Amino acid sequence: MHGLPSDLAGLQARAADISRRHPGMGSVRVLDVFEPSGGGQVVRFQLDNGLQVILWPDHSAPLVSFQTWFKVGTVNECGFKNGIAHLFEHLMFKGTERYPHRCFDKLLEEAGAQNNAATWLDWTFYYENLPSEALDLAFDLESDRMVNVVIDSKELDSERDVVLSERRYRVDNDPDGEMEEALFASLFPNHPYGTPTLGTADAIESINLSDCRGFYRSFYQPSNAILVIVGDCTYERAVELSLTRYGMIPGSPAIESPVPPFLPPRAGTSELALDVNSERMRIGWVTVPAGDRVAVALDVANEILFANESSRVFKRLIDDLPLASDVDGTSEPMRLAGTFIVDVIINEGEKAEDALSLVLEEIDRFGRDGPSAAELARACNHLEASFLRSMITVGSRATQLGIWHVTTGDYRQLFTFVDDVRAVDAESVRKAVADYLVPGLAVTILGRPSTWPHGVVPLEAAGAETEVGR
Amino acid sequence: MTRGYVPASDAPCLIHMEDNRFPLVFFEVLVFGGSYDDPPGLEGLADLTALNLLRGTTRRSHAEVMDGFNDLGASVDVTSHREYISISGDFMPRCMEPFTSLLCEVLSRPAFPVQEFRKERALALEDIRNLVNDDAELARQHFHRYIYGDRLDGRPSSGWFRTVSKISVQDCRDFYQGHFVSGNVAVVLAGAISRELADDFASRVVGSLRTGPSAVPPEVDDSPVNGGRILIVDKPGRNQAQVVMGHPSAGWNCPDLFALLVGNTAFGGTFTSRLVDEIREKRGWSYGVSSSIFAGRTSGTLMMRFFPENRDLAPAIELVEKLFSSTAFGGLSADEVDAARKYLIRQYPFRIETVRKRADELVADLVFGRPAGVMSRFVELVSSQDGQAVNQSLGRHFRPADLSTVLVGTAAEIRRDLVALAGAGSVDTVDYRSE
Repeated sequence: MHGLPSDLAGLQARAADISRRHPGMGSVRVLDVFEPSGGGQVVRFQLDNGLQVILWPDHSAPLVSFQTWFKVGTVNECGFKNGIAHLFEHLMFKGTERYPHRCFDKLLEEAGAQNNAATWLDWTFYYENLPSEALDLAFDLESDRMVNVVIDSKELDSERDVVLSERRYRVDNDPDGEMEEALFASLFPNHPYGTPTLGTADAIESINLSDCRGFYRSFYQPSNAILVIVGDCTYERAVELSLTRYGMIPGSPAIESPVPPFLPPRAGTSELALDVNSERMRIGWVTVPAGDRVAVALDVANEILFANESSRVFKRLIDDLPLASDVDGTSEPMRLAGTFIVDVIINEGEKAEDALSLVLEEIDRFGRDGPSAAELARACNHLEASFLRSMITVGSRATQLGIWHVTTGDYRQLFTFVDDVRAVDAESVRKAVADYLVPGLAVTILGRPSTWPHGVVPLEAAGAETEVGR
Repeated sequence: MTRGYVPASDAPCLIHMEDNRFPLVFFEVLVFGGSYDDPPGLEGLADLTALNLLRGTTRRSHAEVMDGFNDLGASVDVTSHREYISISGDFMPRCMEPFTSLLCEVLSRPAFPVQEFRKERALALEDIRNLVNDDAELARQHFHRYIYGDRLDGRPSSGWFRTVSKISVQDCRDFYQGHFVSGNVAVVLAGAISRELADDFASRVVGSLRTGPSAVPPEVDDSPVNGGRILIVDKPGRNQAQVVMGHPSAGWNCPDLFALLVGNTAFGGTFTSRLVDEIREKRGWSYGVSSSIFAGRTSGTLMMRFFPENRDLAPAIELVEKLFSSTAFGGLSADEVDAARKYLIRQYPFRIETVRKRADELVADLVFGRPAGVMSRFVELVSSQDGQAVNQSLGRHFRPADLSTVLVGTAAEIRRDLVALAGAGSVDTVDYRSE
């Protein structure tokens, strides 16, 4: 896909016309325009208060996805209590003076909107997928709650209980959730990437009103937000609604959110006692941040090694031996670093250590010999199809734009992804594996059926002195 | 005489929707007569037969089949439902010719090699064992078993460990022979594919199969077995319980269904519904809480789900029962009905946002015997439900006396409270590893 320079000046002039009609709301600066090869035009512009807007019009149906991405997540919890980014996401639904509690959901539901939110390490986002005739309502509600949320102790206490319930559901009673927390704690020791996004139960209990208000003031500002609009919305409407709903919100100084440097991962193998019927295993490595070209090579490697039924490890562990009932791999580049994680569900009566040896053996072989041309071609086709699947609905397109922009700083990398994949050669894929999926840097969590005492038990001396790959 | 799922016709049964915005084609081949057709004692047969399609053809090994699809970047997923087996996925239009050839080969020339069959059965058994690790799914499966007993709707499509382990390769071959016939198949193509190419695809798929008639939907007995009772699926170490409450409900043949959908939306289908308001918003008892109606051809299932902490479990169940009863007997307010109607009507475009979703609606017409195009009248049908119609439907179809409660939790922690709530004679307990 190729982006072409487009009528930036024309768009700027049209925005200026709209600004003139709304005095006191500031101006709009068009930052870039991109034309995806599939058609249409993506425009990014910014208001004087720093708010950015990414618009991808598509008038094929009277639907629109309106998403508000805040560059705040678990990584910004230094100086705050663990779990506050996620708890605050819940509190954003508690209402404002203009739209009191329950009014927000009620108005959106009556307009036919699907709405919700999510929090992760680098971001928090809120979305409304709704009929385009109701887009003004979404702008009204979101601009209002960006700065006017009212929280009292009763609402905080009730929502704290909901979040504790969510934690019990996603972690305490879910073996995968328990293993993920243990894995991230070892991948990113003493770093907020290694702390639970949901927060520990103790931390959630300790969050008070003052913490929430401080967190809100610090991060919920126009300059820390990006609106992503995909669907039935014209450029003029997006500019006008952005100016008239957000233009009066004052700008703020750049947000300072100190993040400690990464320490080496606590490499090695730990055991976790779980209420499961058979052993399971998660192996993780720290890799490169989003936007690094190595991330594309790791995506390709993942396809060849783990991600489908033709992959090397899948064939060996499930078809040939068989030792396991499921194998999966995920390469996830984030803003400051990436992860490469392999999940294996071991068959009853089999040992996770046998699967671990085999996984590391395949990685070692790949790091020496690299992929075949056929494997490379297959991986490229798979990743292209995956990209296309993520483009089908207005909601999924908006989410992709939001994630790519927040993590790489440039949403346009989404559209070059398929070309980037096809540009990867065998040697760069081999090298990415050899450089980053280093056995000595692997963090492995073995989940055992719980005849064992609960808690993480280190099995081997941690290779903590080994540096993280670049 | 009961009619088959697929109307008799000389032409292949094809559902086609074209949309060329993205170079991707969604496909689905439906083979009717899914787990409803599993013989007693061989539950899971339809599922295992379908899974074995990918285990090799008379020309290619399992690995060659999978590599063939994966080389093209295509996805192929095989699943079984009560009414049908689905072979579905997507492919890029530039790969259409090799994809179609390989798919036809898989559908018409499966070899069912014994070694591969054993591997697939071992995987299926492993998946059944692994079910105990997923409390929500475990609760759902036990709920169906509890309210339908040994009858058709009480059986999981994947079967039970004891039945799947008895299935032989010959059983699968026989099931295949009886179901994979030209008159029993529908083809769905949605996306970047013209009508002409879609016709060709469907003709090749259907033409590759032996001739034979459509399967016939079975009579389903949906009277509740354990109304008014509580089942604890006892699993150690739980600090919360996964709860499913409900009973058999209306199917697509029920004239009340649209009124009931509006009523249930107001009761437990949105963030502002009664259930969410009382259980989550006011009390913080459960992160998730909802009420859903899964309508089948002639019957359906009403399911309310939530997951309170152990100490809140009994009061939460008691409150849900009260809310359910008061909704059944007292109905909803005019404002509640109006809000639910608006939500369903205005949210409707998302039900048909993509060509795949639109095709899914036509598939549901076939599967559930819905009047053709009923969902294209969705807005009209919902709009016409006034408060009286909605409340009458709730009075008929919300049946508090028939409510069964099934939960996965730690009996030692919760049983006493549940006995105090329902009486000792009304609380059953089974081990979470039991079938």
